[in-house]
Amino acid sequence: MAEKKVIDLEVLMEIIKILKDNDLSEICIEQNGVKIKVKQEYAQPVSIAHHAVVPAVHEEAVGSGKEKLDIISAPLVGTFYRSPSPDVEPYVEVGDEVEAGQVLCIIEAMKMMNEITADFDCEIVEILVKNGQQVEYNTPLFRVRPTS
Amino acid sequence: MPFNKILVANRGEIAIRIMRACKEMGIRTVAVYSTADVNSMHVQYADEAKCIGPGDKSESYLSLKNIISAADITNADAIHPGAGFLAEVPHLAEACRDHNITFIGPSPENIELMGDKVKARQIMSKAGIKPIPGSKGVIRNEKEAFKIAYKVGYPVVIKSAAGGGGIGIREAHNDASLVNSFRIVQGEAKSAFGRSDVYLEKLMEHARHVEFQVLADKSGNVIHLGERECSIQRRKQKLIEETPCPTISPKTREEIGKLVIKAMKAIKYSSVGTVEFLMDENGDFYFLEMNTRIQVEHTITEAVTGLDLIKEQIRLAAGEKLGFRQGDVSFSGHAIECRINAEDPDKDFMPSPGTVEVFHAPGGPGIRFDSHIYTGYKIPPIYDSLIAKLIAHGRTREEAISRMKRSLNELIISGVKTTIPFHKRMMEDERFLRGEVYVDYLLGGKAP
Repeated sequence: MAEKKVIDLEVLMEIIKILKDNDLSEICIEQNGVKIKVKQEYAQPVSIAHHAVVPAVHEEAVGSGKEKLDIISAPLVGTFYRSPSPDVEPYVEVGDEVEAGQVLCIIEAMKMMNEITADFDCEIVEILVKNGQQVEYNTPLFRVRPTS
Repeated sequence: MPFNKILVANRGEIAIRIMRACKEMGIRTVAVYSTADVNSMHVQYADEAKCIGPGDKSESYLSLKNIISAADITNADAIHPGAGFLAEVPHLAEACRDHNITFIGPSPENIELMGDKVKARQIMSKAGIKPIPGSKGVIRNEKEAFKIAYKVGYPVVIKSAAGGGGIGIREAHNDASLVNSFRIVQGEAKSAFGRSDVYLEKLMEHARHVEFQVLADKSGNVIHLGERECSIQRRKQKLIEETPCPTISPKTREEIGKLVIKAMKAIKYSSVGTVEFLMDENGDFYFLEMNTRIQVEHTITEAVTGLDLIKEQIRLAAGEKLGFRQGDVSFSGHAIECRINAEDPDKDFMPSPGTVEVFHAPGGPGIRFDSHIYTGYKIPPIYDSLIAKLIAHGRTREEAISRMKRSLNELIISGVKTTIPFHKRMMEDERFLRGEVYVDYLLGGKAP
């Protein structure tokens, strides 16, 4: 029987301090089956998520406020890849401005690489899945800010 | 354990039925679902679930690539297609073969062969099973249609060579309507199945629909598990099924059973399957079509034989031998199934989707209730209307009927219209009680 994982508050405070002192936006630590992710949004309180290691990691990101953000979701079932092959740069990074029709990522299904493209001009605000993660229909992939 | 993990490529009560067998066998289950089914019970029942598309079934439950991909990412080693959807087209079986996943069903070749109704008639005929009188092959033009119609005599029915389940089928009672029906069916067939091939059969109106259940392993061993009488239908959809057929003698059962086994061996069939017949008033059997999958009404065969057909299907798919012979199969008592649909029987069975407000299941001796509904469940309007199956088993037909009556009164499904009142009336109907059931039972104002 697995022992209950307990958050060491002192460790957590340390992590938050490191985050703030170095003006980091995100720290993610994984140890002994426990994963802790700490994020800092602009002008917002620090949000903390704690998970045991599981495939799908989605936390509610706190948006910086007023503008409308969209989600680009997976149109098919498969494995998500950020770049066309392992040794190549990812298609997009957070902050990138993309045009309609531009490739955002690959979803591999049945050994076929499917290029997933943006339907509209937008800026990548957040990448919601990890490289190599399995996705299903409608799994949120990117949080974007429409720019057109 | 034949497999580690099975992906069930279906929904509703049949998905749960399959998962129940898997659970009992220690096999892990993967459910696939459309966005319209996110609150459906089969999604909760499985060990894992993957969303495979929007409500539109062509992009979800019929999406071969999303289903195979879901099996791929969950490492499922087998896929069970259930009934309907991709169960009776060869594509899923073929794709499984290409991706090293075991398809729980017959070979793609068997599926394709029996899926072509014209070829199926020809093959069965060669094996000694008379098809319904009609065309030997595809009818190419109206002239041929007339020729055959005169030969077998009106009324006739024009059917699409591909498909089944009531699509691409029209009656013709005279020359004028023959031309019309011929053209319409060709058009429907072309648009639904991609080919306009049609054939013609005599319309056997006052006949009984009797089907034989077969079970075959991959080593050529075949047995039959008796017959089911399924004549009470509406628009070719079955409403009530029972076994045994009240008017078949053990001798006839043995004769037809032997013929069916012979035919299955001839086509090297494996897995479960059902050979459907129309039986005329003389007791003669004519081949209608074959379904190369598990059927909704497999439950009544399970009741009288004590077998679990889904477990058998899974074992056989893993390459196990049948393990028992025809002589080992015994039948006990009588079983009846009533299909509970979300339909209004007083409005010509118009579909009645909506929210199940109160649900209470029946129980007691000899009662089996298979369903995916629960209190508060929103029945989606876009899928078929079957919401439950109520099966009553008794030592005699009378006991089965009395148990069905009792449990229909215990069953509560409120908030939507259902066929429950129709079944209650049928269980009091004099002709039904006498076992006088035919495929035209519900036509011509004779319905109770």
